[in-house]
Amino acid sequence: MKQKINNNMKRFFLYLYIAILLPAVQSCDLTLDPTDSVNSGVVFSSLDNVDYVLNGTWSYIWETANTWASPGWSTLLLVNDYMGSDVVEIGKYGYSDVYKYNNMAMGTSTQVVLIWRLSYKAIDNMNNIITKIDHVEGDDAKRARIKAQAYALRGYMYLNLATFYADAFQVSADQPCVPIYIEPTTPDTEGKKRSTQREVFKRAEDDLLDAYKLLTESAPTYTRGEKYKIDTNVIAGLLARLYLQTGEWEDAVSYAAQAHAGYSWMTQNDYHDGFNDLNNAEWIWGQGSSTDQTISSYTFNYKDVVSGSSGYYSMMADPHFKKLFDENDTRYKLFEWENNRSKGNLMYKKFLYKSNGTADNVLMRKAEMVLIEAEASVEAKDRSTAIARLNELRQARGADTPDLSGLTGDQLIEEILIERRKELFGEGFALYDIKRRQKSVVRLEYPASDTDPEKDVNGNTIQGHTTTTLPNGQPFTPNSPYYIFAVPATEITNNHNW
Amino acid sequence: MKRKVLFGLLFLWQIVTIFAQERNISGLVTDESGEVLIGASVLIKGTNRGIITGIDGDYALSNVPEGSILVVSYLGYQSQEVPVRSNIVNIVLKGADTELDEVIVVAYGTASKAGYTGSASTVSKESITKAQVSSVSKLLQGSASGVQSISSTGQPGSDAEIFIRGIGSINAESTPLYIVDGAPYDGALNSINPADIESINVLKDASATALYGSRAANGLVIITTKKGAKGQKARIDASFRYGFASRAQKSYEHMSTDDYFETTWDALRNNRMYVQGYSASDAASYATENLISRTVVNPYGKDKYPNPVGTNGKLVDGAVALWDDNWLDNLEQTAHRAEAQVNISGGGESTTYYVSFGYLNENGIASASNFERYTGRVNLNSDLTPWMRLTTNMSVNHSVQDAPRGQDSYSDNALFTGNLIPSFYPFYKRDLNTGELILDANENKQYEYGSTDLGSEYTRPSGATPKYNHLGSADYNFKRNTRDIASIRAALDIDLYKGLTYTGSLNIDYNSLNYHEYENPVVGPSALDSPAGTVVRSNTKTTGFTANNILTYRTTFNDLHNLKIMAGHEYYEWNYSIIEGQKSGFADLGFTEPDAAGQLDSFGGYSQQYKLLSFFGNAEYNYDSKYFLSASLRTDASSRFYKDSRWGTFWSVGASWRINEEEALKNIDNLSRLTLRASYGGQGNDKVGYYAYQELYSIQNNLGESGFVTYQLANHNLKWETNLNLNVGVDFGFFNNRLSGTVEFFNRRSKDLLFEIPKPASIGFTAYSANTGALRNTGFEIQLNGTPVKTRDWKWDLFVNMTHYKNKITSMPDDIITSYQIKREGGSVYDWFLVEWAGIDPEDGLPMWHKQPIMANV
Repeated sequence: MKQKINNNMKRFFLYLYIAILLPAVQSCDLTLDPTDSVNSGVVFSSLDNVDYVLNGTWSYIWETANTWASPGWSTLLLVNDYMGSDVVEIGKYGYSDVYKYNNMAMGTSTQVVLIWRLSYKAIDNMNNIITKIDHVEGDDAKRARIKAQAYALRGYMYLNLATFYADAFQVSADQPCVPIYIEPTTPDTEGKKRSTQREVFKRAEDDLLDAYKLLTESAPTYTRGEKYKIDTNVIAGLLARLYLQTGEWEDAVSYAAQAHAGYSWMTQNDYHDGFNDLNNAEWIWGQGSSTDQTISSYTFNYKDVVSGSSGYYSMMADPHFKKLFDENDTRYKLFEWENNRSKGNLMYKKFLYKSNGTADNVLMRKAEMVLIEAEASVEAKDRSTAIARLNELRQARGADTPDLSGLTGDQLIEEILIERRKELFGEGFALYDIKRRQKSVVRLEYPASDTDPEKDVNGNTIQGHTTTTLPNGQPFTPNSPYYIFAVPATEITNNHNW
Repeated sequence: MKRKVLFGLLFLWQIVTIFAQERNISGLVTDESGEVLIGASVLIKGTNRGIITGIDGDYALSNVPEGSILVVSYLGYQSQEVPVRSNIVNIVLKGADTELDEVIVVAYGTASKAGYTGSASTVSKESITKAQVSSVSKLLQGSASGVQSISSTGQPGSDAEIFIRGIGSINAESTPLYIVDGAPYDGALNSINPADIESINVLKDASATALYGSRAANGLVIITTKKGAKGQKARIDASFRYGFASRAQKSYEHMSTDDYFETTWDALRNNRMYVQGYSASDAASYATENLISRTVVNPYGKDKYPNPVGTNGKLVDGAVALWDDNWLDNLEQTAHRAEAQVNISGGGESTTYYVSFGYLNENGIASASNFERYTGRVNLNSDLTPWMRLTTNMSVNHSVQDAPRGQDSYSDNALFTGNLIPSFYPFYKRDLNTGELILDANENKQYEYGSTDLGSEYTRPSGATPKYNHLGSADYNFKRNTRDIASIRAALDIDLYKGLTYTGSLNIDYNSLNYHEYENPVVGPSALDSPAGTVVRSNTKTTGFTANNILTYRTTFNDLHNLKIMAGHEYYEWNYSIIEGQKSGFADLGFTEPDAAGQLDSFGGYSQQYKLLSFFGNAEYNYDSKYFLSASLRTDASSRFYKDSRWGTFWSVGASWRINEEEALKNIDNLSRLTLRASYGGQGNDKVGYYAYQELYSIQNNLGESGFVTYQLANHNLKWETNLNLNVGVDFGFFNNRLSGTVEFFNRRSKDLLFEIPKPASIGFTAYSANTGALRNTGFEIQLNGTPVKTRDWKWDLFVNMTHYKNKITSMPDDIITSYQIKREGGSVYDWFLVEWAGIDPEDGLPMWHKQPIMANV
């Protein structure tokens, strides 16, 4: 009897042992895959998946923030405006030190680190597409379209790097600028040494021309679904910007014209709608937003000086800037003296959040392209086209159109540059224009002279510029090293070939 | 950051209830010094009749047959058998300093403390009982040598970080492995009710931890919960405690309002004069006229003293601040803590039980912080047959933590911003001319949010956190963690053959964390959001599963040679999943759930898995309980590495010598213990990303379209980080162990460090996971226990421990510089890499640095 119980027990024990061992046997499969990322083999298995790398890279650069002071790709645009002549920063979080020219000269600042990181992240992703897509099976036209867009985005990145990490092309073309990578990074990839600014511009030009050629010749029927994708107009617009910097004026004129072909002027009412919507008739390229994708919208915390939900509202206008406008100009109606949160400052109410707390960002629009056409036309000795283009824009804004035919070429260029400041305020062109035209930042206190009779408004002292010199106490000059973006300190310490 | 909570014990109440029987024999149980022993077990041998001693150490038993033998036992004392010869039987128990009886819980079993070759620190039950803390992690603070417990927050219900013998890894995890009732524990430490804990052992060296191989590279903390005793009648133990706490570390001193205004005046004047180049008198009048536009609020009366600081930089005559609202005082509260627990334990001939319930309610010094915890536990052990035993431990826990932000420099951190808002900004709405409080229709004070957008008269400058009044928002807003944890341990021991035992166990830890964060749409900054008010809800679920099969063989031959051999296999699986969603836009107060919000802001979730397969073995030998040897081997395969680099083998050897057992020393009365021991061995560390060896693209969608972007470079060579530990120690005890202690030296070397090697961002990646470099932690530990006074009425125990260690990076192919820190050969993991401040240039008042900050182009 006892023997039997023991046998039963031992059988029970055997079953139990198996029950315990079974889950252990299953453990032999120790190769596990993540659920929120994909293996590279999957990515390059179909053209659709390769196309997703374009989307993912685009989303990454807009939606990556290392602090709230550097909300993704918009950071590049914000930095440009805060380092210009027309924006007054009111001592808020984020751009106070940029406005004072400290941050972008410092290799550890959040904006410096982010812009660099995003640029090269995009470049490496595009290198992967460009290098690997030819081995992926699928429709040739689709492959050409994806590859063209990858070339274009890489070209855009190199164009920005050539622009902001050196002086104007005419000054520093043969100075070391930034490294160039055209192969995908592997674990063995080392940091590269810097190429000259001329080489970086050339890389950008080659990429953009390759993109243009591939898209127009091998995928001529491509129409993009959304304005955040790259089409021929966008590529032409980037080429126009490039040639405007390198001084190839005829090319600048013709690509700028192609870029805005098919786009109409926004209405004067549209100009008051807050510059937050991709559907704006003038917008050629930009990034949309949604309630679950808000880092890019975060930029409006700085640019939107009106809404209560705007956290920093620090992109105020210089009171001197207002004097550049005539009163018929619909843009003039955007000025209002702040009598609430930051009393005595001048608001330029161009940027407004949408009601759902998001906002789209513009990267390229018709007005800029028309102004490139005008500016390059002057240089190409075609002043009548230049004046016609300028007046086209002024009429669209309801502004006066004084007779400009008596102006010299230089005077006309000045007129166009002022129009760019008025038209493109807050869109990321201020420092860019100062640098490429080898101008000086101009910041005057308010009041600057007896010609500024208004000192108070609504009982508040009018507030103007608070930083009127460079950090070293010296006056602003053309080609100041403070206008050049620093390279992150970690790049220099970790790149052994720098 | 700050250790804030210090509890004052208000009162302690403890009852011990016994179920008495009829009187026949009775007596007292005391120790050698005459102190009564409460709760000692008195059992009639050969029966299950018995009793435990009462509050006075007394006992009584009826109808005890003549000639019976009483078995008297008490934890920490030698059991005694006493024949019953009269009606009064008094018993004196001797302390169990014969250290062979002292058993400590170690990896996969127990060991006699004497001759144990490893390094172990024990936290006594007494210090656990006395501590007024809610988490095991805080119990370890200062109570065991070699253990660093760092509380980074005073948030009730949060765990302290534990490091054993220094930081052993630069990038991989440095936290120890917790073993609760024999199996690795994956729950939150603060979910264990300290009252349920029988003992905590901290195992530090290789011979102690190598059996857990890769899992214990940073040491082991072994927690054992209470059990019932066989043949013990039901015993109820209940306690209630109440305490309060305040800030232990004083906050910063604040400037007075008068100083603030004069200093701000100086700043304005200096900037105008030295930076902008105006004359001294221009600058002085500019400062006087613009001071209030800078501070916004004028506490001296805005009409009476429109410019409270004169052009001499001093307050004008008669100007007196009309109010002084200390924000931090308003935002802090006295912390309270109430704890109640009850447990019942006992056992029959073959089954013992321990059942407990605990309740804790604790709030912190930050307003609206709170932690409420319910714990329940059943430990049931049974001898199923004479050769088969079942051990089960089950605990269930529910807790709710209200955790307003108390760390970091976010605006919603009241303890941070309370220091930033000067006291001349009213906390409650005030008449700015008279300083009088402005009451609402119901005569209540009204919170001042300092923003015209929220209906204030003014907006505080951004440095003074406009839009916030944390106390005002605290009535509505919350960040709430609701945790449910179940922990199950089941083990079956089967005696297969003489000395050969099989043990199989299944262990599951289940954790559910439900997070609910709400910001109201009516007061505070969220009222200005568009749409106003947000709610976040998330659920995180983790399960840890461990199954093992172990064979143990023990034998003794010639009465002198004791041998124990063990071999086993273990499988561990960890699963993690999270879902999280955010919505915004509430119609009004009173609705806090996502269904009540209009706009979907985000929804997401993912899961992760980790597996570990292990085989291990261990042999222990001692000769005459005098010379001890041990060796162990373990091999682990981790899912975190590529298949060719997955297996890691770890081992250890140890030896000890109980010198006081030698004949020559045996007769020295005052020497009660002297043991020399040494161990050496290696463990591994695989704590890198779960999929760190794979080439991956993260999923990064764009406006409804799928997207991929490079995330991680492949590294198929990624392998185990190895720790090699040398430990040499001496245990000693004098005067019947009234003075005892341990001195230990350790050298803990780590090589093939798992590291995120920084890369130049221009290659598209800022870091790459690889094995590189080596480091070393060298140090010593001293632990001393003494009982200077021991009388019947008065016992004074002294307990001192100290650890000193030095960290050195012994190999690093390239200097690794990450933002503000540098890792280089010869340095330590604590080295900073900063530009050194050289003071202020007396010429122009500008800062000077020994080396220019990195200004690349300037």
